[in-house]
Amino acid sequence: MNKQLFENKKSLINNIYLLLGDTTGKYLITILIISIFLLPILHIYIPEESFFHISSYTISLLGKYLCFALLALSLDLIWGYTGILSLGHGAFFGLGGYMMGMHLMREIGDRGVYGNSELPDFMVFLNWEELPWFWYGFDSFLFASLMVILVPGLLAFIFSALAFGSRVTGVYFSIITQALVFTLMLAFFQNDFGFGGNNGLTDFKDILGKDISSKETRGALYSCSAIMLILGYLICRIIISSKIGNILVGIRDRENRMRFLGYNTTVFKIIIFTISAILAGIAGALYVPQVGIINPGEFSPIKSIEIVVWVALGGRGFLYGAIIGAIVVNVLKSYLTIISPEIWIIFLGLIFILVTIYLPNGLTDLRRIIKRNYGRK
Amino acid sequence: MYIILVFTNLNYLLADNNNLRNHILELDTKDFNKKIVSIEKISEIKTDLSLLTLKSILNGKLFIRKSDKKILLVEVIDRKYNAYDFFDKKELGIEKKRKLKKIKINNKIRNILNNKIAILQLSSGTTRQKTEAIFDIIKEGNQKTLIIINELLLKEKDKELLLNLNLAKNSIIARYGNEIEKIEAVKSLSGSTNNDIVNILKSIVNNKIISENIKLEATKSLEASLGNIKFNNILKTTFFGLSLGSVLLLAAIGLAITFGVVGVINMAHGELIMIGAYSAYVVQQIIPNNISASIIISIPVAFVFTGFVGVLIERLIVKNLYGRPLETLLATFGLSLILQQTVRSIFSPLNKTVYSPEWMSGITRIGGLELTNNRIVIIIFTLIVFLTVVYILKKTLFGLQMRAVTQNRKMASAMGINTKKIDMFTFAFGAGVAGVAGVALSQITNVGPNLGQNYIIDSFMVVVFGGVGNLFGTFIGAFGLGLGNKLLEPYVGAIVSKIFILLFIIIFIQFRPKGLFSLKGRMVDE
Repeated sequence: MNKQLFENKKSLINNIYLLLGDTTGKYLITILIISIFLLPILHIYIPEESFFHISSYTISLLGKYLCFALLALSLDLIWGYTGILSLGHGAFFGLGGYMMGMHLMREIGDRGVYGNSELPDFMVFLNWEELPWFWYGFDSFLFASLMVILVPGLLAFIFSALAFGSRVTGVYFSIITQALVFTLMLAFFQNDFGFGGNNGLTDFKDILGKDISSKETRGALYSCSAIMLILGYLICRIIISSKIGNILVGIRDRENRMRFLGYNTTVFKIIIFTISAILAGIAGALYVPQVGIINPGEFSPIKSIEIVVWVALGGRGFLYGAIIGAIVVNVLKSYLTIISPEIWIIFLGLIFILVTIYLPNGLTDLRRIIKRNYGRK
Repeated sequence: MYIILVFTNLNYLLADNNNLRNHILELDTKDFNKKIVSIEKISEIKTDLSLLTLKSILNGKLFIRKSDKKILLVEVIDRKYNAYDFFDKKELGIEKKRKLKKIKINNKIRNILNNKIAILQLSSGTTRQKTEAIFDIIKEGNQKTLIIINELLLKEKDKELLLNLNLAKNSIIARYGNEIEKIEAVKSLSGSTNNDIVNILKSIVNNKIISENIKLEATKSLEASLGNIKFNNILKTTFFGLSLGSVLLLAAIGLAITFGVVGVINMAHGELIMIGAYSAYVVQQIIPNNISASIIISIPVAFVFTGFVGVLIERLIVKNLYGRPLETLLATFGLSLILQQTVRSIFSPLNKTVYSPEWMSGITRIGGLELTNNRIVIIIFTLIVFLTVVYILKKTLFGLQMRAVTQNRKMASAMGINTKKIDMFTFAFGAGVAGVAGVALSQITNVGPNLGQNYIIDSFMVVVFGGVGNLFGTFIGAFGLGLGNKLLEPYVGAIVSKIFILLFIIIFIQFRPKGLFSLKGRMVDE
């Protein structure tokens, strides 16, 4: 008994060793850990005139990038390592966001425009008599957090169990994930669906009793995002470096051979897809309080495809690639859309084409090319 | 002799116009009863101008200039009063509001005007105007109109108009005749699908003073009418379903070729449709005077141009990614963004209008059904395009080679087919068909940079639902989804029915992952 435990411990140590073996990931995690403490301190305690001060706009923006990075990470887990391309990961991100949004709506209480403590503003506006059943329980933060995990997870589980169970693969799976996210968008745009329709959920006031726009809250939200990203990264790393990871890669490279070898690939795919959806949902839940709104636009198919670009640019199948890709693309997006939205769209299109044709492993390929050229000199 | 005839005729007209002027000036009074008298008199002068007078009074466009009592037609645009001379239609420039006097009417006069206009249109005008006028009379008819209808019944020769005139006559008798007349009239109204007649019948059934005999007949007639309306509605829904199905099929055929035959996921397919629609727009800008010709010319133009764009896409992007479907999907998606933005920069983000030729606008009445011509034309056009594509695939050398490459690339290559060339031409062919679809779609929707986006997901659904690599499946898929969507719509609304259809497809794919009609084989696909 004791021996077994000891062996388990040993394999755990082994795992940690594997985690540390990934150099770029190590640097990335280190930077993130430092930023957990540093950024909020710079934001809260350094006076605004100072060069080192970080404005609340910047810290929310950075927090947003980290949420996107977590989302990209979740996509890399299934696309990069298992070969399942989801064109609808925005569905899980959006659902996680809506769950958090619903809690924040309930937190508003009677401070809304209509001063109704029973119903959110948009329901009063639509002349609703009482709270729909699916809003019950969202007063509690704990319940909402549970839902953030359960709802996207359950949807992903059912959806993938159906799809993978009947061996829907490859392009077909991608297209039905797109149909899924498109369906959700149409549904959430409906006013009588009960989630605020077109306008979505917004005008949040508090989170856990603290003012949502205060410096402390923004700092804390940033730290939470960074911590969740690190945790997400570690979870993915552990999965990838375990035996399961090898099976997943096997599925990616030749699923039928894995099947012939006796592995029930369907179960692995369902599990990994569900985990990925849960990570995406958590990213959405952290994203909403930082941007202050969630609306059906998050479910638009193009947003989901953008996630794929982040991963493709960063290099799929490297985990840290997804994080770097998400941050690089979004920083570019922030700058270029200020210069001219047209340029941004052309640029995005070009990234798609050039990366898929010339850099199948994204920026990591670029690094290799540069290294090779320097090597010759 | 001739000259005298023309001269008297002219004199006659001038006299009419003078009369008309006087009567219009008489309208300039606050006494509404006097106005009614003048309107009666105006409607007795049965010329086009008197009809115009009544119409412009109804629309509030008839004004009198205070200074010289000149009668003006005024178009109000951006709160500016653009005046025209009423008689010779000369433009008089912008008038000031306070120098003009508008001829005001109340609801009673409005009803009278509607009725008079209907009667005037009945005695002159095209068959369609006459039909419209008869339907107006059914709404507002009374004993006076009955006399006119009886006169017209003697003169009119057109069968359809006679039928409608009888309907109008009976609808009036059913309200104002004696008991025996009423029973006969109510009987003859049986089965009519006209909304106003149904209302008349309903009011008779619900009226407490009317005798039981009439009520009995009215109830029978009403039931027959409601039955017919139900039947008509089913036909109408079917027509709408077929219409939507044909649009889906048009959008999906090109995709079925590139996706089904070459196995390339082309996310820029929607943008190829958009380019086709813009080709129609450009051709129409080049020949603005002949709309019919411009639409017909733009079909081959769109086919060739989008086909050429297709060749470029194949050479520059898709060629590098054969055998990597997911990467192709991403690259072509990027391309779709670029194409959209390019079109937005060239043509501005605003929607453009492509005008429809005359034979596509208007309504065709079949029984009680009103079908819009453009939808009928598009259904027929879709079938032509579909059959042509099937013909090319099944009966031409190009089609044969294309199918050979699809079935066994290596073997086809060994038989001397240049597979790379076939790939390119197939892709271009699919793109060209998408362009042709764009021309057709330009006739029913706005042409804008986002046109394609609205069709891409639907097209994929159709192809996947029907079964990849099977044009017949695409055909069934498109019409099946179109009909399903429109059959659901009356119960749940447009958007929710679309949601249901999407959910249906998602679930359907789980049970038949290869679509309705799939190629059967014993291979494990890689």
